[in-house]
Amino acid sequence: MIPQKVILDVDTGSDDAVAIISAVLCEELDVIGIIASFGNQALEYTLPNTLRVVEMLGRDVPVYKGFGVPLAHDLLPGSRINANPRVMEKEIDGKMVSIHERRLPLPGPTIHEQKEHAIPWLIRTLRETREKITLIPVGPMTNVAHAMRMDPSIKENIKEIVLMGGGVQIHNVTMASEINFYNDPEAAKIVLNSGVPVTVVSLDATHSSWFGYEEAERIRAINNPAADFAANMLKHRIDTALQVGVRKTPKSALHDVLAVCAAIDKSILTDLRHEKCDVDIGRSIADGALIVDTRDTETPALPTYIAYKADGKKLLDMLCSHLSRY
Amino acid sequence: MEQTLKKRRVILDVDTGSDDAVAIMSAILSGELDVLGICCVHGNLPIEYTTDNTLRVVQLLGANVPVFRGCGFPLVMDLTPGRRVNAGEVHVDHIVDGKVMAVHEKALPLPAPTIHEEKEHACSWMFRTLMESEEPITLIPVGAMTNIATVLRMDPRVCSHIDEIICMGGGIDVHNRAYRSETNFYNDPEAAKIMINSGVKITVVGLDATHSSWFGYEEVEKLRAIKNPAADFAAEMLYHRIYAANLTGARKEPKSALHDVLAVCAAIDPTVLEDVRHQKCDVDISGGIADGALMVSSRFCHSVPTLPTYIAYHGNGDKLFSMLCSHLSKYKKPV
Repeated sequence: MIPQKVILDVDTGSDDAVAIISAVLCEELDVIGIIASFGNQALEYTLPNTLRVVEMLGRDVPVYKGFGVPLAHDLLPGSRINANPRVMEKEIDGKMVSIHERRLPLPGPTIHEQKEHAIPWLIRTLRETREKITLIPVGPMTNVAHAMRMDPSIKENIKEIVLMGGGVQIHNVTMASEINFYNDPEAAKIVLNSGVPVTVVSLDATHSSWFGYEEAERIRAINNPAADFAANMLKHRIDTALQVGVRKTPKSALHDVLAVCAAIDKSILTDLRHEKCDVDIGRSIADGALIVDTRDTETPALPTYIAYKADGKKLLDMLCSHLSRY
Repeated sequence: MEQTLKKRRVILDVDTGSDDAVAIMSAILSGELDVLGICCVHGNLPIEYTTDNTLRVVQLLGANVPVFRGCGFPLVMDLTPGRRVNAGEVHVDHIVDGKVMAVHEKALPLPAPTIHEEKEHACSWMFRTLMESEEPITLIPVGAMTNIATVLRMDPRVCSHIDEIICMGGGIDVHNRAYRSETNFYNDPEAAKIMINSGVKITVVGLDATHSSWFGYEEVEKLRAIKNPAADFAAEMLYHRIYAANLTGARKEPKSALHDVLAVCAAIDPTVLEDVRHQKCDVDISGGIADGALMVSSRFCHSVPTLPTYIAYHGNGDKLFSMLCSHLSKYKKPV
């Protein structure tokens, strides 16, 4: 089996960390590089966190520093006043509790990011590749969107984009939006309208395959540092979501892991629909929202596929199988 | 006198373009600037044409200056095409005898290029060149500010490698493309806003300055009298600009500003700009009638500039013209 060449784009991030581990350890993917983006936290935290995870795995995967700011939405900060975003952290007993810690509980990093900026590297790599590459962006779509707009010819060498972002019935950061799309609505819009095949691993799919403490213990039972860390991340996510008050159920979705596993095996997405969709960039309450056109008159003109449901059992099996390869 | 001054190292960013073409010639022939490279951007024309036209001009000069293809789209402006409905946009193309008469022709009347653009993307090259440079470099963007904004946002550390940005764009009391907007800023309002707010020293060579130093048919003849291919071509560009602007109804006076040349000459001799004011300014990106407009704060108590943004209100036309003539007269036939 020749592994599929992929590029991860991450804002590490608790679930990003597990997604990186899954992608790097699995045998089906050849991770040729990881791009760090702003998102769950500022780039100054997501970049070292990404390096920490790669260092723990001891693999020689290059990490590139990407954009620390969105395409343009931050230029009018006041426009967000209508969207009423929810904060995913809370101060409890003088300590900041966050679903995505600024510093992942791992040593280092002692390894460094590449000298080249992510964007020149991404453009150069896609221009020069002989085989098509799959992109797996699981943070804001800023780097991918920027690169596609800077040089549209690179689209020809993208096999597909399997992204984590958006939500049709389920949202998190605002009443209409998921955080990756919300963090750069224009970038998400560019990616969906690019003409490249896009699989949208939405909150609907990730929440349909979420895990609880029982799954955390099954992961821990694999008994290696990668599995321990993944179990800790899952437990941390369940605990903090309850503490911060963003969820009542003791469950948490490992969103980004589902995107990685979907890039390996699409059948993990059990309800995948070819639909006409777009992203709102109107700066009102739907800013950054994934909008699906359900009017009977509309048919999808672009290869955009939205995942509504996923097989949680398969996801856990795949993750455990990857982790056991550490 | 011994020449001890080091040449100012500059990167041009162009959307060639009739006045861009003359600006490139001025920058390269002057001998007073070290033109490290020319980046092309969308603007007056789509990126394919601006890159091709830039190569034509560089080829005419036989100059060994690398040309890079940059961004062909604005950052985000085109994602909502309807936002422009309110801006009172003018289209200046005009058909005469079945031929489209535009201020910026798709293909400049020069031989098709046999030289090639560099392989690297303009933004990749500009970013790398700036980051690797120990002494700061001056950027002279005279098209849409897309490449510049992209590079500025790739990594904020790049700002400390920029000496100054001398841009052609914006207008305070003079506008061209829309009610309140000049073409370069209008073509990518978000990019112009990012640049103005970057914290880098910016000199804005706006329409107020360029229109105060415009030229007519008399200057066309003076350029022609220099009698070399570069001067002939510059004369032809100026003639075409005056003629096309009158014909399309964009202007009544038989005059035309060589906007981008003023920005280049300001990099050589800042005194070509007169009435340069340190002012608090910004660019509107609202999608209303002021979309892409350069706004200067004129409120009594709230106008203290916090950023190094300098706006030129006047250009010295005599000085500009004599600089241009002096540059063009240095043309040497390529071997």
